[in-house]
Amino acid sequence: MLRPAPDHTTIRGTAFFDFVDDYHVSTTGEIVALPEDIRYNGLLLENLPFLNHKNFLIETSAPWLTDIELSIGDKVFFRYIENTEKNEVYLGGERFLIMPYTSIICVYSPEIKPVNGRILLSMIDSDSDFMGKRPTLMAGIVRYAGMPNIHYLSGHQGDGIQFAAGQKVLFKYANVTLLEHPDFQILDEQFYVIQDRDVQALLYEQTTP
Amino acid sequence: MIETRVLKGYRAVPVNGYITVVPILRDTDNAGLTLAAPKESGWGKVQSASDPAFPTGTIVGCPPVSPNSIIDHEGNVLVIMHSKDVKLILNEL
Repeated sequence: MLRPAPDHTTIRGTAFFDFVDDYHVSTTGEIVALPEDIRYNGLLLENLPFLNHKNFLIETSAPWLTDIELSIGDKVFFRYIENTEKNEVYLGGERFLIMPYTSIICVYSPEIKPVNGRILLSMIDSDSDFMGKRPTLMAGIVRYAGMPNIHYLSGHQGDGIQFAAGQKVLFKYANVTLLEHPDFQILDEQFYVIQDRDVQALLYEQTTP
Repeated sequence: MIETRVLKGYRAVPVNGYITVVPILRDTDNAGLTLAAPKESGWGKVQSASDPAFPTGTIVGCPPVSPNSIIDHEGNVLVIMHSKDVKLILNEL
C-alpha cells in the first residue's frame, strides 16, 4: 500500500483542460505498508506439471518470484495502470493505493534502487552506432540494476545475473518502457526500464584489428 | 516484415538463454531465380551461446525473422535469438 503523489494537473504552471489517465496520473508514491511474502506458484507448477487447477494457480500467482527489498517510507515509481479507482482505499479521508508488489518499478528516494529484477538504462547514442529507422531502442548502458528475480512464471527464466552499472547490454526491444514522462520528470535524467530477463547479450567494445 | 536493427563495433556475449548465429545466406529464392541481395536461408551457424546445448559451430534451423543483429569487427552479421526459438539442430552423419 502506498500514498500516491498528487496527479499532474498543470504543466509548467498552466492547468490542463482535460485529463488523460496514462498521461496525467501520478506514478510515484510513498510506501506505507508491505506484504510479508509474495504468493508465487511457479515453482509448484514446475515441479508438479500435471497438477489439477493449473489455471487457478497461474491466475493467483505473482508473475515472478523476488525478494522483498522495499522498506516503509521509500518513495517509489510504479506502473501508471495501478493508479485507478479499483485500487483506491480511503483511510481518515486520505487516499491510498493498494497494488501488487510486482508493479513497483524502483525506489527513487532515499536512493535510486530498481526492484523486481528491473534495470534502469540510458540508451547508447544512436547517431554514431546504429543504422535503421527506430535505432535507439536496442542497446543501452546499465545505470542502476536491481537484484535479479529468482524465478519467472512464464518460463522465460533469466540466468539470475547481477548486472552492474556501466555495463553495455543488448536487450529485447518489445519490453522497454520509459520510467517517467518527460513533462513531469522528477529525476535529473531520463531512464528506460527493462527486466533482467530481457537482456540478450553483454556488449564489449571491439577495437578494429 | 520484421525490421533488422544492426549494431556495429561490439562483441556480444549472450546471456539468459540467447545465442548468436551467423546466418547461412543463399543467393537464390525458392524458384531458383537469382536475387539482387543475399537472403537468409533459415539456417545458421552458432557463434556463441549462453546455453550449453548449443556449442559453437552447431548448425541450427531458425525462424525466418531478423531480430537484433550485430556486426563484428570482421564484418560478420550475427543474429541474436533465443535458444527456445531454434526449430532443429543438424548433426553430421
